[in-house]
Amino acid sequence: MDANPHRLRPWVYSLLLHGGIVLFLVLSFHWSSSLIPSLGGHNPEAEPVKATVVDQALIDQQMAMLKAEQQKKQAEKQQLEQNISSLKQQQASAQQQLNQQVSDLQKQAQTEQDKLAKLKAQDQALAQKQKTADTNARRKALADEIASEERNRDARMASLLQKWEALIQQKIINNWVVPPSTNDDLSCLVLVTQVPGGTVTNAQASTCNGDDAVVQSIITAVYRASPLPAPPDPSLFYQGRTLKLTFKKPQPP
Amino acid sequence: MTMLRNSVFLTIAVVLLLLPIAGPHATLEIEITSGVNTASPIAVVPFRYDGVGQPTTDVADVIGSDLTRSGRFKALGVKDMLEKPTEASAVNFNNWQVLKINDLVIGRVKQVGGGYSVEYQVFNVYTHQQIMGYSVATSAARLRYTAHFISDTIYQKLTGQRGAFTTRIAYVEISGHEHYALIVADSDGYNAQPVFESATQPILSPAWSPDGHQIAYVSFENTMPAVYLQDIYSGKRELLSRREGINGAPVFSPDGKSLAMTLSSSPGNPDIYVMDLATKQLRRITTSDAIDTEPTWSPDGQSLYFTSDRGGTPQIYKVSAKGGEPQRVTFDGSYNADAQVSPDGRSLAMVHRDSGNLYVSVMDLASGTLTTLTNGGLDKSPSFAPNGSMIIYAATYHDQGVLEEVSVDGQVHERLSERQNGVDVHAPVWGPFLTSGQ
Repeated sequence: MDANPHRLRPWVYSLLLHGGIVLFLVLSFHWSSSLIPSLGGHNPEAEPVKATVVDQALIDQQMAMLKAEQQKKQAEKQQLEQNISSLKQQQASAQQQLNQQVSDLQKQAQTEQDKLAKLKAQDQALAQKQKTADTNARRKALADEIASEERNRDARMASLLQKWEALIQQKIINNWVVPPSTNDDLSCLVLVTQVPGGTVTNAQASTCNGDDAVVQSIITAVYRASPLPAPPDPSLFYQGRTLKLTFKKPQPP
Repeated sequence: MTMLRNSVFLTIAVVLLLLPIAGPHATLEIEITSGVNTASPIAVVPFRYDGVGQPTTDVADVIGSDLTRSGRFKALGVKDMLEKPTEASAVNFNNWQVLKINDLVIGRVKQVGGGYSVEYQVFNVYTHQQIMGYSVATSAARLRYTAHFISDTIYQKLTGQRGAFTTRIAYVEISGHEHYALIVADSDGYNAQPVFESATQPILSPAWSPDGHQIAYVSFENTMPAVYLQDIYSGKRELLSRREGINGAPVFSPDGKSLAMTLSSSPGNPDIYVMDLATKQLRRITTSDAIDTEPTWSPDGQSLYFTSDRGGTPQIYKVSAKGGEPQRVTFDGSYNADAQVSPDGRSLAMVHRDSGNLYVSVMDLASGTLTTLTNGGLDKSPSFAPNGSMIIYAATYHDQGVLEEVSVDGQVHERLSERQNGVDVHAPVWGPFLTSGQ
């Protein structure tokens, strides 16, 4: 029996220890529980925690906006490059079109020239023959046909002449560096002489309301464009041996 | 009877009028209503030197660089020249025509007494005509200035527009440990001279007087910002404004009689004011609660442009120089600031922000079209050359502030000086034409 109190002692210690731990836990639970709600956001001091989350969203949003802006800029740049290349294409195709028109006209003119020559030969042959009522009637018909063909040829030559003008105009435009002092009401008449082959032998301003810089730039443009484009039909050269060029202030596109 | 005579005269007149048209010497008539906007090719042959030793400046090189920097010309490289004539009689124009050069500059530098005489001639390569030819007397110290002067005369002759190569620029330099200096230099960045220095306190916003003799600027020398006026030749300074709050962004009116600036109307509320320089009296121009700053004058002195965030983002507004209701001018993008009107009054240079980068842009005032001139980054403080052909601005290169110039068509960019270690430059302003050769 006297061993009993000795055997009970560890139990008492154990109980006391456990009781202490439970008490400590209960107390510590109460102590920390007063702070837990504040983490939930009721305490204004905790606001920064929430704010950090919002900031991240803002950053993401701004990053997305920045990216979108960059993409937009990239797209704009591509669009600009596309516009430039399509403008260049348009320019090239316009030049090509002009060249094609010229060559078509040249072919037509050649065909018409051949036909006219044939008609005239026929007429000559008839003229050699004995004059009968029949040949007279046929010659009358031939004369009408020749006249109509000649009208065709003249019309064709007129449009070839226009094409030549366009070719010369384009080459001079490409060589005129327009000075900043160019007046809005500029009207500058320049007389140009060229020799077969297109070499400009003389270019002189006749009446011109531009200043020295403008006159210099215009004369330089004409000489820089030398040799001028050859006429689409050699017979036209005589009509363009001298040129009257009127320079006006370029209008912004 | 008179009617008959009249009709006879009329018939003769009509016949006479018709004669030239009917004549066999037909002429093609062509209208040229378009041209190109490229730089005109020019050659500046190295000038011959008649004297002892070497001249202080390579005159031809300075002229070629000046003309190219304007964007209106492209100078041929010396190594690409087929000949290097220094006398008119030695020029073979074919050698320049094959290179598609429009104009040729040749010349000679002659030692005369203690100084030099510089002779130069300009020829049209196609007509062989001498367009101009002059002789200029100068000193060793002024030889570079003379080269700029020659560039001005050539530029004027060939473009019809006054050259701005002899004008000067002002800017702020920060070196070492916050050592601030207000610098005046030639328009190509050479010949830099400090006109005011401060060991530790910032200098901001220099502005030229229209006669080019004075500079107004902001100095923090007494720890608070104040606006000063300084004569750049005598060094004499005058305190113009040290009010409570902001004293900033001074800018002279075109007649030089007033100064627009930014002052605090109440704490934290900057507004635009105009000071009469004779009486020092202030007139308040803007009255909003928003930030109104960076005023600049229209060339006719009738209105002011300024930056304001009254609409939520910084934009440019215009207001009468007498005050009144401002009108918003810029609508492109969320940030447009620090405007300056071109000398012809037709366009506005400004700092434009896009995708976080700052660009120098130019807006056509009639159409509202905005054109970006620079490659972007941190480009600030645009300022027009007095002939409107170029713009100087502050840029960042390898994290340091540098000065750059761009032609107003955006075609030619140039960094003015090589980056010096530990030296930052800011706030460039292009000075006016100098009427006297000061």
